[in-house]
Amino acid sequence: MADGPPAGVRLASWQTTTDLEQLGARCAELFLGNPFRWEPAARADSAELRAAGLPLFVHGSLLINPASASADVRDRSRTALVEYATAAAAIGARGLLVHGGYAEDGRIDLAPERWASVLSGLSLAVALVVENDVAPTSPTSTLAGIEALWPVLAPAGGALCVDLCHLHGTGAGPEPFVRALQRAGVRIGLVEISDAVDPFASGRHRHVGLGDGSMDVAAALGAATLAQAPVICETPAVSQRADIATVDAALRRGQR
Amino acid sequence: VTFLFWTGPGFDFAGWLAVASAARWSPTGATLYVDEVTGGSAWLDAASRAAGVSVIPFLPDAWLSRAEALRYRGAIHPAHRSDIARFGVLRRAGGLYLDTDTITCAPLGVLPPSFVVRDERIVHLGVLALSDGHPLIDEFFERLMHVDPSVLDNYSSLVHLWTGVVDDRSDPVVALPASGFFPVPWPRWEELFDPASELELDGVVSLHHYGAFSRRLTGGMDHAWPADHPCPFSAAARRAQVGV
Repeated sequence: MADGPPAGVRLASWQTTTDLEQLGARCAELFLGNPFRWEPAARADSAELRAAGLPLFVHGSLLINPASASADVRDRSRTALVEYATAAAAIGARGLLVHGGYAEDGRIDLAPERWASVLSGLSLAVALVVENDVAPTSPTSTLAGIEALWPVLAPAGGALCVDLCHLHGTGAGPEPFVRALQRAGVRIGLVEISDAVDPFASGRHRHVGLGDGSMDVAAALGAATLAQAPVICETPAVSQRADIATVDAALRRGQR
Repeated sequence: VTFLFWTGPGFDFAGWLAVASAARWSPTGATLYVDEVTGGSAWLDAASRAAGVSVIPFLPDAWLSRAEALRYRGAIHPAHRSDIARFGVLRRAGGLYLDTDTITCAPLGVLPPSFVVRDERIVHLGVLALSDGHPLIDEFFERLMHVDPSVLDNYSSLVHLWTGVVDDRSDPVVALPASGFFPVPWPRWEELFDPASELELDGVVSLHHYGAFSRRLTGGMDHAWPADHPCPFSAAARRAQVGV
């Protein structure tokens, strides 16, 4: 049986590489400290994470907002991107994951320009992976917004993370969305999968284990398979083991 | 000024106990703000008649900017509405905020005028005191208004945001230990209702009993319940000295 892209979990602060092994995770996403602080904090198990040799993705501070209308927030976001990417590289991470941002003034048409000002002249220590969001005031909540942003992200070595729960919240079909990204030449670097508490097109994104919510899980798995990228189960600890097995099986089927 | 906040239906005996006990032990009585979507209840009526208690409507547009009020109204978790409301009140009026799942059982007047309560992981939002215009409040709103609003779909997001605010600022604020307010961490909330618990309440100023979980018990309680059910919750209710 051919191996597909790896499936893994978002590693909580209290989980370890031993947990990853026991869960059958072959990749992981993690925060470095409190996600509502500007600066990253080193994890106590940094050496073990690096030694594990798994594809790791660090989720940057949730305060990072390159689409902000505030020049101060954009400046702080730029500094935080550098610091987080450096910290991510220190544990051998493959990428730094950040949200597409939020335009407080509703001017998502200005997002590419604002993102460009933040990324201008930056050389990040790991690849930047930008996540699709659910809020209408985020430039990555629609395909059009992502396509507009891509010319800014691509030269910086960026990729997109497809969060299927966010996508469900925006009311986009997962497989058509992934196909459209691929047609537009948008590189997909990561997929996040979970089920959703809230209904399709609710504008919400509360994550639950696969099969425990309102999402069309088969369609989500189909999209994850199409994306040909590592898949992170962004689900509660209690369902991670089963979710990894489900995703792994789908990814392997997709390789046949 | 000591104040509490309530939104939504289901104000129960424990809510009354929180308000009445705060008023009993606060030198200035207690104010309960209730928001525009609050449903009435017999216990809310009882709270409004308790000694030293004022129950007044919380009008978001009076305390929050237009954009902040939108965040408030858009919050999917009632707890987040409460979080935003308390900072709106603190910003203008200052004071001591207590959750409605607390039982105050010692004098509040001896507490510092500004303080936070923290443990190893978080700075709690359930009890805090800040002077009006405190810079931590401005930083809270600054961060709240610049993050993607959808991150608030995560129930624990605001307590982590608040923890980040306190940890990142150099402004001096007294940090009191959690033992005086949260002597039992939330995963062990049932211990507060366990007759076999040996938890000592000496040193506890206000006992937090995690209403998101304890409501399943407090929802059916009345004044007689503590007398018939020995446990830390009942012991705290008796210490509150509000006729329980």
